Amino acid sequence: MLQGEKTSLRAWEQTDLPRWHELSRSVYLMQMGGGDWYPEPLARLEYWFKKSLEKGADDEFAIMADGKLIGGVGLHHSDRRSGTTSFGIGIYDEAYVGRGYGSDALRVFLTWVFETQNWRRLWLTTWSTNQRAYRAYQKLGFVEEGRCPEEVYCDGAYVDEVIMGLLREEWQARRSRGVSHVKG
Amino acid sequence: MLKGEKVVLRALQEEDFEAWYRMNDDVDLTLSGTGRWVPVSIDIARERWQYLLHSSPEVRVNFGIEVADEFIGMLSIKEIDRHNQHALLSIALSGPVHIGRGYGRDALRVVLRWAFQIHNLHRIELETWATNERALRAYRAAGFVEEGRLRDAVWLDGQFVDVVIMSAIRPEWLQNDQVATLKAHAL
Repeated sequence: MLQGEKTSLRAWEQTDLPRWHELSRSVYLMQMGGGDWYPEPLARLEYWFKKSLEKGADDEFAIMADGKLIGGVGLHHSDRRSGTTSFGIGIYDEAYVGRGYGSDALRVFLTWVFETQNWRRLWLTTWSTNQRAYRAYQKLGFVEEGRCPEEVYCDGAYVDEVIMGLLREEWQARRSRGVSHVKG
Repeated sequence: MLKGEKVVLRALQEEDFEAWYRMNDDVDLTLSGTGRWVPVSIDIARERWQYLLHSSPEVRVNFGIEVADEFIGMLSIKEIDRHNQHALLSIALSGPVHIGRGYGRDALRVVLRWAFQIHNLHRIELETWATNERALRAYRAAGFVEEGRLRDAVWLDGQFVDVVIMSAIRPEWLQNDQVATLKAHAL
């Protein structure tokens, strides 16, 4: 388990699924994560979770706060040869949104990604309409690298996808200057 | 989940099976929806239910319609065709107590908002029977427009009846103030 100041990160368990299902009812927050929302029966989540266990996924975390599951973070598009990978994070409990829980989880996650797991480049995509996320990533050192105009249909409009990235050296440099790593 | 003025649309749950099964066992209700009724053993019904729970949202999205925490019906957006941004709609409410109270038209309005604003569909089509006046009124109220009749296309309870084809399309829906105001509070 990884321990932050407000959050802890641990593996997903079968027993998290009913709570995850409850969180996935938030249309707005799910749209911020994936652009879309549709109703998913718990039975389907259970099916996919079993599949992921069979595949042996080892790069997905449940984000916990106050003993509750509040979101998730995990790696995608991992390329070991180049040492580069992307990630996605979402806080899906309205009570924990915009209060530094996501940033806290990410600070812990970045240490795991760069030091423990030896990735040298980490990137992400978000929507241009998600200003809250953009600012949080910036504060952690992520730099805007590109925009794909009207890449995604989200809530009645085509919005830009923003690509942001962070290199290990940049992250280390910021950390040695004491920026943004320990305290937001 | 999606909130209307009267109903909530949410994912199907295993526990909805009993109510769903009773709904499909009601001859009058089933005739008004599908035009035919045959006895279905509970094991076959369970299989069908599992199919609905696990249907791929690429092709078919099912909503449970809920009033006061009770499952009162199902609404499906199906045969989703991404090339044409087109899909078919079907809706069924369970039991006479839930019919004629505006639940259906509320659910229809909410699902159109979802289909056009969130899921990026352009056209939603449905069919009903020319004799089903209540359904026709609800569909019209939700913004569906009649666009054709298939004459004597179904045998329904002793006679041939016309099938009415209706649709809602996004540009028209966006212009319709009454529906567009829902945008602010539908979620």
